Amino acid sequence: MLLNYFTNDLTAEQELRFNELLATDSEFKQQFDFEKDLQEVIRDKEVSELKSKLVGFEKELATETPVIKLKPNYRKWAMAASIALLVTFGWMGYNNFSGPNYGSLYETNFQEYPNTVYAITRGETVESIERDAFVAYESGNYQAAIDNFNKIPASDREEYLDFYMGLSYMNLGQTQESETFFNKVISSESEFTPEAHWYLALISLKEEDKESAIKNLKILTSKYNFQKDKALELLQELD
Amino acid sequence: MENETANITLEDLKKGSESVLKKVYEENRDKFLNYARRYSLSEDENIDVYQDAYVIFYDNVMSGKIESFTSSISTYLFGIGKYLIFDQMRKNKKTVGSNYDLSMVGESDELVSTFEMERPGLTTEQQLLQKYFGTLGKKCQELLTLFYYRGLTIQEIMVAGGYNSENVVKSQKSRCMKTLKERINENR
Repeated sequence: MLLNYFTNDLTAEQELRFNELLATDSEFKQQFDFEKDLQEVIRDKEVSELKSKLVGFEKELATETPVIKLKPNYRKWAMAASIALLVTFGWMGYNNFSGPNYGSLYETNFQEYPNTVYAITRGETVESIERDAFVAYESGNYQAAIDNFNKIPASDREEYLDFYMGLSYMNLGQTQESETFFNKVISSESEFTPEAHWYLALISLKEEDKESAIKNLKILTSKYNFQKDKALELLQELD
Repeated sequence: MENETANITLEDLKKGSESVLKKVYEENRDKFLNYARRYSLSEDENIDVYQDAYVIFYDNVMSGKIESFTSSISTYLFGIGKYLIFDQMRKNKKTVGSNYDLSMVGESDELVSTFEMERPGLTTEQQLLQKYFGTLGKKCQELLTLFYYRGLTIQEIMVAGGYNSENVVKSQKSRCMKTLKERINENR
C-alpha cells in the first residue's frame, strides 16, 4: 500500500483504508514517516544538484560566447547603433523631416510599467475592485482596468492610481487623458513623479512635440534617477 | 526556438536528461531576463532568480503538482519568477511603491498559485537520514531516487534499471531501506 502511495496509485477506497491505518497503526505510521522523510531528503539533494547544474550551464554560456560578458553594455551599444542608424537615415534622404524619428524613439523607449503597488491589506471591497483593476492592467485589458480604477471611491483612492490611470490610457493610445493624469501625478508630487515625467516625455515624442519632450527629460535628468541613462541619450538625440 | 521548447513534454522533463534540462534553460533564459529587467534587481540577482524559478518549476513537475502543461514552460517560469523577484526586492528593501506588497495577480500567477515556493529546512531526523543516505551504494541511491523522487513504479524501475523481475526490484528496495535504517540506528 505504501508503494502505491508513493507512486500516486492509491484508489479512493485504498486511500480511505490508508488514512485509517495511519491513524490507528503506529508501526505503519512510523514506516510512513520514515519514507516521507526519505523522500524529502532525496528531493532536497536533487534540488541542490539541479541548482548547481544550472550554475554550470550559465558558466558554459559565458565561456561559449564571450560576447555575453559585454551584456551590461550591450543594450547601450544596441541603442547607440540604432540611433546611429536613425541619424544616418536622417542624413540620407529625409531632409524635409530632418531630425529624429519620433515614432521609433517612442517605440524603442516605451515599456509598460509593472504593477508594483497593489497591496493586500486594505478594506475588503475596495481591495477586490483594486485587485480586479490590476489583474486587468497586467493582462493588458486597459479599458477594464480604467473602469475598475474609476469605481474606487475618492476617499479610498491611493495616489498611485492616477499614475496607473495615466498608463492605462497611454496603452490605449488616448494620450490626452493620459497626459491629464500624469500631470496630476506631478502636481501632487507623488512618488511616481519621475515616472510621470518620463512617460510625458514619451508621449511628446509620439506627438512630435520636441519642446515638451525636452522639458520633461530635463526635469527628469536634473532631479531624479529614474531612466536617467536613457533620458540623457534621448536628450542628446533630440538636440 | 520557442517552438522547440513547446515540443518538450512533461515526460521528457521528468526523465531529467542533461540535454533537455539545458535546452529548456537556454531557450527561456533571455526571455526571462528581459522580463526581470523591468524590476530593480541586479543582473546577477536576475540570473539567480531565473535559476531558482527553474528549480522550483522542476520540483513541482517532479512532485506531480503539474500533471499536464496548461501553459508554456515560460509562463510557469514567469509566474514563479515574479514571486521570487518581489521576495528578493523585499529582502533588499528596495521598495518601489508605498503600499508595496506581493501582488499575486495575473494569469501566470494564478497558474503557480498552488506551487510550493519555499521549502522548510530539513529536520534533524531528516538531516540524519541525509547523512546516511549518502553512505549507501550507488545502486541503492539510484533506485530510491527513481522511486521516491521521480515517482516511477516498481515495474518502470524494473525496465529502467534492467532488473529481471518486479520482485527483484522490491527486495532490492527493501534491502536498501533496511541498511539505511540500520546505519541510522547504530549511530543514534
